[in-house]
Parts: sequence; structure tokens; C-alpha cells
Amino acid sequence: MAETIVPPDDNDSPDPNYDAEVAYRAYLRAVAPPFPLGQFQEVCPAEISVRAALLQGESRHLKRFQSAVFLLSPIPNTSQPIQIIHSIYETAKCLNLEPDWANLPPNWLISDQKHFPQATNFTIFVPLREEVLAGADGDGITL
Amino acid sequence: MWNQIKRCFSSLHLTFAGLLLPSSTCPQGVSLLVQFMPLHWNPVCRIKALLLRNFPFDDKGSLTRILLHVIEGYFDSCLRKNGQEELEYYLVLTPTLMEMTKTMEGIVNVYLPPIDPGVNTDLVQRFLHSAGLRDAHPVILSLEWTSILMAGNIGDLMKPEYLRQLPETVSTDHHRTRPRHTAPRGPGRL
Repeated sequence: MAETIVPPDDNDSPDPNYDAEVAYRAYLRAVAPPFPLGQFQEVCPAEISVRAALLQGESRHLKRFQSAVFLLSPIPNTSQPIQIIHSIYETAKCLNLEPDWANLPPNWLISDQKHFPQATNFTIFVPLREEVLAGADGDGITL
Repeated sequence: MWNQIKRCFSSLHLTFAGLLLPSSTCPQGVSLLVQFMPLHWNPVCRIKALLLRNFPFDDKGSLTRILLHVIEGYFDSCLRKNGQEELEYYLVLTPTLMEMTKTMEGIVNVYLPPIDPGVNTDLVQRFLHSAGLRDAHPVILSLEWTSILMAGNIGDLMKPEYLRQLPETVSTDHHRTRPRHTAPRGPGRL
């Protein structure tokens, strides 16, 4: 799992006009039409808890790597597109990630997008708009 | 820099905003597993080398994280002993509903880089040999406080006779981090 650390390219500055929330809303409108009124109700605020890492390692022992994608699981086979998109959105918000909304697939329910399919669930592959530095084994990570 | 590091394996407990079925009276909590993958990990050109089972898929994810840490240490040690320390591998945890126990369990898939004919054709064999899977039979990695079953294919991994040799639950009161490599009492080993 040891990877070469590639420092972020300072010249690759983010688009100042990019609005992640606008990109998410556009993707949501395109891929998951709104449910009829009354079928779902709003629950705010979302209750999110991120579990802390149990092991505490020294930074010199940490294996780190650049990542531009994360796997999200388990996605139930019965999920509707809007539920999958909300899973991505809430996860990204919780971990301060920026999914590449403009380039996410238009349909998560086709077999090509269902990775590691199981009897009840599958895994999705979510590309990020910008790279993040990931720790390989969860040691000593602070979110 | 420190607080920008993302965990490779994170367990989240989410309650969705805006997604509550009318029949429900309380928010529905959902546990999701997030796994970051390296830049050059290709979901298409991947080579599955072996699988491991008996990873608890609990809400906290702590035990699973420890087990992954131990397994990674085991593989690193095995590869080093066999002079294969440069061999890259990736662990992907797949939540799987077990038919017999009706519980969600994590199965770890070990992936290797793509095979390049003429260059690394023996990649899988080198990894399996180093990891201790030297014939077609599965092996049990005994950690005393739990055991992990390691097999080359999903069929062997799911055999009931092997499942009976694994502990049903993971105890947290005794952690031993040096895996003991034993053969399960499966067909052909009795």
C-alpha cells in the first residue's frame, strides 16, 4: 500500500468561478428528477458522525498517497438515483470532498457503475474534482 | 498538511437530509464505508489475487480498521521476507450480506496491478506464494482474538465448513498482532 507522495501542483489553481453547490444541484436535476410532493419530507439538519481513528500513529510512519476517487459502499440494490446522489453529497460534505459532479455518470443503476455487486448491495466509484492526500491505514488521521 | 489527510477507510453514519419515507417516524441512519484509492488504481484493469473474510462490518469500523492494519502488516512482512517488497497491492473492503448468519460482513479483495505480458506474468503467483497461499487450499490467519480466512476464490471463502472454524464475533479484550498461519480443516486436509 506504500505509495509515492506527489506534492500538489501549486500552478494548478482551482477555477474561481466554480461553485460546488451549483454543480451538485445541476447534477441532481439532470439525473434524479424531484419526487412528487409528499413522497419524501425534509429532515434538517442532517445528523452525521464520523468515527475517529482508533490507532494513533506517528506521522513518519504514515503511508500517504494522492487520491482522486473514493469507493462508497454499501449501496443497497433497491436504491433510487436520488438516494445514491444524497449519499455522495452527504459523504462529500462530511469529509470535505468535492465530487466531480459534472462528470459523474447519468445512471448509477446500470451494471457498469455497480462495482463489486453483491446479493443486496454494490459499491460505487466516485471521482473527485481535486486530489486529496489519503492515509493508507487510518492511523493518526484528524478530520 | 496534517488535517488534509483523508482516511483510506472511514466509516460514516449518515442520516439523510430530505430523504425520509413518510411511514418512518425517525430519521433513517445509514452506515457508509468510504475507501480512497490511489491515483493509478484502475477499476477496470485490476487483477484479483486473493480474498479474506471475517471482517466485522460494525458501525464504528474500528475493529475492521485494526484488522486491515494487521493484514497489511502481515502482507508487507511476507513480501519482505520473500524479497518482493516492491510488489504493490491494494485492499478493497466489500460489505457482504452473509446468507447463513444474516449479518453484514466485510470481505477484503486483494488487487494487484495489471498484468503486463512478458514483464510481470507471474505477479499473482509471486504474491500468493509470498502470502502463504501456496496451494489451492485456503488458510486461516489466527490472531488469537479472531481469525481471518484467506482463499484464492470466493467459492472456497464461502464454504460452510470453513465458516464453522471462524469465531462468530470479534473480542476486543485481547489483541495479538502477529498472525499465525494455519491450514483450515477443510476438504483434503482432514
